[in-house]
Amino acid sequence: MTTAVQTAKIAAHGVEKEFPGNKVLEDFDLQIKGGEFLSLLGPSGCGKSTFLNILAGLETYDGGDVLVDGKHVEGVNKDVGVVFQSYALFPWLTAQKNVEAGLKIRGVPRKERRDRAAEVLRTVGLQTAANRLPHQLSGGMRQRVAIARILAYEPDVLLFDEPFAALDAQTREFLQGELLRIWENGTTKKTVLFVTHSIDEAIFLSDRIAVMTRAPGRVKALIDVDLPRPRTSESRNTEDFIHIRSQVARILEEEVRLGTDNH
Amino acid sequence: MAPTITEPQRAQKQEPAAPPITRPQRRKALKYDSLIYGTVGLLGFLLVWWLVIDRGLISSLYLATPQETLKAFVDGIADGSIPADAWPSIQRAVIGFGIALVVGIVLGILVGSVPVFGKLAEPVLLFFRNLSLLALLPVFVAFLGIGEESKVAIVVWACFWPIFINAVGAVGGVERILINSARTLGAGRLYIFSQVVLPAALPSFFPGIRLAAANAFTALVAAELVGGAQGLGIYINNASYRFQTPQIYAGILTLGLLGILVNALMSGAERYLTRWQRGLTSR
Repeated sequence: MTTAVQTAKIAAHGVEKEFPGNKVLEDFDLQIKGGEFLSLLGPSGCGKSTFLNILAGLETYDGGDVLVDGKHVEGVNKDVGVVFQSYALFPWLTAQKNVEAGLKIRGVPRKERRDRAAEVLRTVGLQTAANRLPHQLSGGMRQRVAIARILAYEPDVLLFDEPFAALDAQTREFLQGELLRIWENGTTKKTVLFVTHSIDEAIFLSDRIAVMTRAPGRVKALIDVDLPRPRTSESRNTEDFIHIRSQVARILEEEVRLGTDNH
Repeated sequence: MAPTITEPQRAQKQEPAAPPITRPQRRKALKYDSLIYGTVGLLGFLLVWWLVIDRGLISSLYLATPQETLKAFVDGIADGSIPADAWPSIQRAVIGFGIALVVGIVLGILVGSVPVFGKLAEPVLLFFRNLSLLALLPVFVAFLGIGEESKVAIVVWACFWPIFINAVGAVGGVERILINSARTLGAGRLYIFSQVVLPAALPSFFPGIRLAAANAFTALVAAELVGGAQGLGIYINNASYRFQTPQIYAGILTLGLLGILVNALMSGAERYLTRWQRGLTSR
């Protein structure tokens, strides 16, 4: 095993994944360092969510290696937290109880659970909504509960599967800022894989962006985002940001064009 | 006219508020509405009942008047004869229903969540779900006699099928994403079964549970008519042997009232257990 594999928090080598009649991932390579925020960007249907599901242990893979902390991913890893696009909150539980779920599964005593959930809800700015049910919350608030739910049990790795894609532009930017604030202020830097199809979102959030080819997907380019942290909404207007955006857009456009030529 | 430029909202700091929870005002009016119509309908029914006997269309030998029925019912309650027979029936119904509820839901979730079980069970289910209970009465009596066991078993049988079949379908409707999100939280099978699939499918269990509750007394009375010492079916049967027509109808009235009670209990349980759904678009 090479040293690169050992120092990477997450490592994927030559990953293959095929659904019946549909090759989704082929020769997929990606390494994410500990404490790094990496966005996985690509045209729709390129397999970026499939890779996330493999990493989360929800999906098997047909070839190659997927390692977290140097260990092969086999089933769900309790040190990984996932936020899905469709919130995936339990609709019969209050925000508070939803946040407690991961702790309850880990056998954390009731009192501790409650304190921890209250604390995390405060972190995401939802302390006043603790006793509300998911359907009584707006989309943005629901997604904040979903983030609080994984923060509560303190996983090392956070996986986001287009978490803000269903939200309106204004809420989306607000939550991007919130996510960065939480991540940048965390006592231990979590390793983040953030799947998105929004270039701006990827640049604003990430240390590095991995751009994927269309299906069967592999990583086509890796782009460093050297914008200083902590980032604010002003970061979006800097020259560096705009420069990276045009760079990424060019790579993505190429893929989309190749895709349409095929038809 | 020049367009007015309004101060934009602070995009970075604001998030649209959650939709307010509204309660429709019309509900109250509709409630009284149904009360008024219901009372009129009931009075009409009682009037027709009374008239057909009063006008001699039906002999009072076969059909007691509403007044006689009510009197027999009140007397039966007062002298304890109706409660003495109703109580064993209620016990059997509750025990049988309870067993069917637990077994039906547990098996339903198992069969519903494991496709192979579903396929294996399909033909057998198809056969039994539509089989007449009355045809099976002799079988139950042959195996279990005419004592408590066979009566409870018949109730279990009658209640099990609607609960079970309904549960199998309900489990299939549970959103995959909820199960996946529980798995990523680290949940094991037992947690997913009891804390995710069960509550998620619960609202869809209720049609089956209601049907089962209604079936419980129907099946029980059939079982009691076969024989036994005490029970509402036996009360009615005995009254019939003695040509005590008002008592027959008092027994039937008791069953009818129990049915309403059961229905109310089921509605209450449903409202309570699925209270988190209130305000969702589907309800």
